[in-house]
Amino acid sequence: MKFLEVENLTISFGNKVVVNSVSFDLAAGERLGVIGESGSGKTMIALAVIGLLPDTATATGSIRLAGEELLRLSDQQMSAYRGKQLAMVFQEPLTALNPLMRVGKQIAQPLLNHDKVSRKAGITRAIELCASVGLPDPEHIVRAYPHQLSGGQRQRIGLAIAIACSPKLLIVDEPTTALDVTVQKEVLQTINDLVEQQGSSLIFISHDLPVVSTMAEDIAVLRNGELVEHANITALFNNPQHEYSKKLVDLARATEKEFSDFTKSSTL
Amino acid sequence: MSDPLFQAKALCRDFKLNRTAISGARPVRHAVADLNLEIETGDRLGVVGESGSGKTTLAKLLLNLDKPTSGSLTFNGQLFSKINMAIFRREVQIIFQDPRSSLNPQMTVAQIILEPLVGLNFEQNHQQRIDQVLQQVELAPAIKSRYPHELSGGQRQRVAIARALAAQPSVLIADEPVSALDVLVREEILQLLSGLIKTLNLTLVLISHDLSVITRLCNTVVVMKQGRIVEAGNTQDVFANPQHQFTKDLISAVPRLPTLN
Repeated sequence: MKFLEVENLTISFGNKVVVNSVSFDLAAGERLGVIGESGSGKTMIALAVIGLLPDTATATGSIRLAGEELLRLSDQQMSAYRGKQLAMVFQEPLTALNPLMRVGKQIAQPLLNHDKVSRKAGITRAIELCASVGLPDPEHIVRAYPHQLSGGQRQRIGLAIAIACSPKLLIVDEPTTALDVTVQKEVLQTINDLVEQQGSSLIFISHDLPVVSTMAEDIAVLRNGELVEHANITALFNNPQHEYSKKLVDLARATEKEFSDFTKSSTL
Repeated sequence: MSDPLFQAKALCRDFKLNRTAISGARPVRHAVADLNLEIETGDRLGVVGESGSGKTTLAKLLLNLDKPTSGSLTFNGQLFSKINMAIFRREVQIIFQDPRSSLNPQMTVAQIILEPLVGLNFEQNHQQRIDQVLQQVELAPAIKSRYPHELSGGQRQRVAIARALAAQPSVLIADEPVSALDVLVREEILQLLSGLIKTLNLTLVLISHDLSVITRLCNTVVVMKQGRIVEAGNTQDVFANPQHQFTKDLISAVPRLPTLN
C-alpha cells in the first residue's frame, strides 16, 4: 500500500468532465511534479485530494490516504485530516489569506484546531514557523496583515500555515507564478528544505517544466484532464512518450540552450 | 545629429503613499527615480527588473498615460507636453499582459480592431485593414464576429497585437506580453512577435521579468531596481558579462534544467 493512492479519479461539473480517470500513487517521502497547461485539471486534482472541490463538482473514483478513503469522508471528518495529515499552499497568496486577520493568528489556526495548543503557545509557534520559512523579523511580521506584506512574504506565510502541523503530504499549487525569479528561487529552496526536514511527500503543481524538474523526481503530465504520461524525470527528458510531453521537453531544452548560449561569456 | 526617438532626462515619478503616522508629510514612493534613457529608432529595448522596480510605470510614462513628477521626456525631440496626441498615438501603441482584461468583452474582434482605426482616423479602407492585420497575426477571418470570451488565451493575445498594429504604429510597447500564457502558446506568440518586429521594422520596448523573453526579442536591455537603471547595454554583453550584483542575481535565478546523463 502506497501512502497516497489515486485511482480512476474523475471530476465533472454537470456534463463537463474536467479530470478523466486519473490514477497515480505516491509513497511516503516521494515527490511528484504535476505539469499541464491552464484548464488541464491540475488544480482540480489537488482540490479533490484535499477535499476542497467546489460544491458544484462531482468526484468519482478513489483517493486513499494511508488506506483511508477520502472521497467518502464528510466535510467534518475531512477537516480532521486537512492541515494535519495533508495541507496545501495555494497559487495566489493574496486571495488565500484572510485579509482581516493578522498573519500570526492565521498560522496558529491549524495548531489551535488540531493540536489544541493555547493561543499564546500558538503565536510562539507561529513566530518559529515564520523564521523557518525564512521571513525576516518574525516577531513583528506575525502582527502584520496580509496587505502589508510583499508577494514573496505572503507566499511564505501560506507555506508556514501549510506546514504548521507537519503534514505528511504537502500539495503546492503554482506557488511561484506570482513571484519574481529571484524570489521564486528562494521560495523553492525553502519548500525543498522543509519537505526534506519533515520527510513529507510533496505534490508540486506547475506549468513550468524547468521549475518542476528542480522540485520532483517523478513527473505527471496532464492534458485536457487526462494523465498522458507519468515518468521518472530522467526518462521523461531522455525519452518522452507522449507527443505533448515531447513538445514541452523540446521547448524547455531549446529555451535553456538559447539562454546558456546568450549568457556564455562573449570574451571567450 | 538627429534627436533620439525617446529621450528621458532625470525622469521621476513619485507616488504618495498612505499615512503611517498622524502628523508629518505622507511617505513617498519613488517608482521611477532620476532615470536617463535614450531609445533610437529601430531599437529593440528590453526592460527587466523585479515587480515594483518601476518597469510598468516607465512604460506608462513613455506612452503618455501618466505624467512624470519631474524631469523631461521627449519624442522625436519634442517635449511630451507639446505633442499632438493624435499623431503620437498613431506612432506608439501598446500590448498589455492579460488580454482577458485588455479587450472589451462586449465587442467583437472586428469592433475591437476597428476602434483604433476610427479613433485615429486611419486613411485606408477600415474593413480591408482589419482583414490585413488579422492575416498578419495569423488569425482566420472567421474570428471577426467572435467575442473575446470565445477565444483561447493565445488567440486573445493575437487580437490584442492586431489592435496595436492596426493603425500602423512605428513603436510597440509590450508590457509582459506572454507571461499570462501557457508555455507552448507563449512560444507561438514570441515567434509571431519576433517575425512582426522584423517585417514591420518596429521599434520595440519590451517589459518582462523573464530574461529568456528579453534574450529572444531585444538587442539592448536596461535592468531596473527600485526605480533606477542599474545596468544598461547590448543584451548579449549585459547577459554574458553582468556588472551589477543585481543583474548577476537575476541571471543565476533563472530556473535551469537538471543535468541528466
